[in-house]
Amino acid sequence: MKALILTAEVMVKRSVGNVWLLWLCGFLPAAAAVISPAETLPGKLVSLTAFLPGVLLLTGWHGSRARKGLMAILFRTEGAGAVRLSELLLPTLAGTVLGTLAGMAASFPPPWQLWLTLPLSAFAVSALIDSVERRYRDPGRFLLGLIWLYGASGSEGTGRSGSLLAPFGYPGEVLFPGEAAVHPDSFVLASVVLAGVSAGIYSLSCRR
Amino acid sequence: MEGPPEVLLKFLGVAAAVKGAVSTDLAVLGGTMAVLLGEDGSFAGELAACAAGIRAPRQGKVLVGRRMLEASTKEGRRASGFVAHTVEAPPGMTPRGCVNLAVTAVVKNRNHATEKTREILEWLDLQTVANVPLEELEPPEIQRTSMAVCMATSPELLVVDSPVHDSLHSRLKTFSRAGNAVLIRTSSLGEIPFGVERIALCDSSGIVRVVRHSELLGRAMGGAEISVSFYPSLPRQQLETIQGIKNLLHRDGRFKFTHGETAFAVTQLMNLARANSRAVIELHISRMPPSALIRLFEGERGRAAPEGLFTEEDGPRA
Repeated sequence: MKALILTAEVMVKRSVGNVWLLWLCGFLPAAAAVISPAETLPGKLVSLTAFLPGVLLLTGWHGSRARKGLMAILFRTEGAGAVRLSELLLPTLAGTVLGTLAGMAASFPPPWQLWLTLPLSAFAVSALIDSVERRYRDPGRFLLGLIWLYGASGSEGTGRSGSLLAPFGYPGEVLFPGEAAVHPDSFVLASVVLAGVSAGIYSLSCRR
Repeated sequence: MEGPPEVLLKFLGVAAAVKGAVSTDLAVLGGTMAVLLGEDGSFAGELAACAAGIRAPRQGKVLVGRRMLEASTKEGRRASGFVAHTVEAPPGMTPRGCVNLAVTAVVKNRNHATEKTREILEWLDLQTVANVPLEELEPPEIQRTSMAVCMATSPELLVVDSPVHDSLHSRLKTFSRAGNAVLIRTSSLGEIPFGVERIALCDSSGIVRVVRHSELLGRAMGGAEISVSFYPSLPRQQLETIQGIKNLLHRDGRFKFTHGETAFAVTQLMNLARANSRAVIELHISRMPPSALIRLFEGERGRAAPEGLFTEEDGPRA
């Protein structure tokens, strides 16, 4: 438990003390505001709040002195697993809480689908970022950036099934489905599939 | 009555990834301290890393602890510890924080964890610096902190990277006397602490020979590696006249050799310079490197079969 809490504390300290990460987290909403069609912006921003903690906490975490230090101390104990759990749990929880607050502020009461889509999406995105940071680094970051850009630049409520291919936008799609959009239940199913795929990629990246 | 000492570390068929590498079979008994002596880049470093579970051997097996677990597995890693010169930790972490973190990951009861942390810090004389950030600690304190973190898992084998600070010698002895094993990896004979029984001489291909500490000290007694330059340069034949000179190398006007009696060799060098109207422009005396120590045993066949550290074909002595 101590390892779990200490890891969370160290992750937050590292991220808050890193100016570049703070700039990145300021840049993403600004970029979303520029490239997203105006009518879809609230949904995009709600989605963004769900994965921004993952970006803030996990970018550069695996190569950091803080993580290496924790793992060096806990290398021979069960605590090493607690570090891994914490680095997945913290961004997921933070993303879920922030996303819930943002979702409730944007549309109250939120649809029931949001309560499933939000944690699943936050988990999936955290697992993907974690895997990328652990193993695939720059090519992975580039790919995730492209997927996000694809989702952020698309318009909602047009009935296109392409929105299902933009996993970073599921919570927003559920909140603001538009008139002829894909049914919100589809995003719940897509979130489950996405969480499963992300968990698979995560477990693959954990293997030596 | 105490039973026979148990084998706590076994290298079985471990071989280096170089041409002509020899397969290494070696074991270390509980209650003893052993040394892997080899230059940087020799196989000693790899063997030490394998024993500490940091790396899996390319070939063969490394078994540690009383249960003879593979060193690089999760369970095997718990049976060993690696004492280094640095402690990797998040910025601002203190010795107490590091030890407590490692202890709480092993001991679930909070009170017991606090008590164990206190005991470890006390045993390693770290109470006065327990709350000082690691960045502000002196090297000996860092090394003791590294050992303190290792002690959290109550290891049966400690792998120690030399130089071992004086303050750690007595602790390592106490640790081994309790029935555990200590393996020190070093590149200099002078860094071997007292109490070490066996020394494995390593080169890049593997363990060349296992000798007693006293035997090695006896052979290298007063010996040193000497490098010298004269102006104008002296012909090589002149240096070959010095009695007892070994491994003489001549490159770019600089001579390098080993000699069993340093004082005698230096006197002879000065006499040579004076007799030939030369000036000694460079004289450097250093301890015999492992390669020179290995050459001291060249030509002898067979391996030492001492208690504590022995080749696998010899078998453990009860």
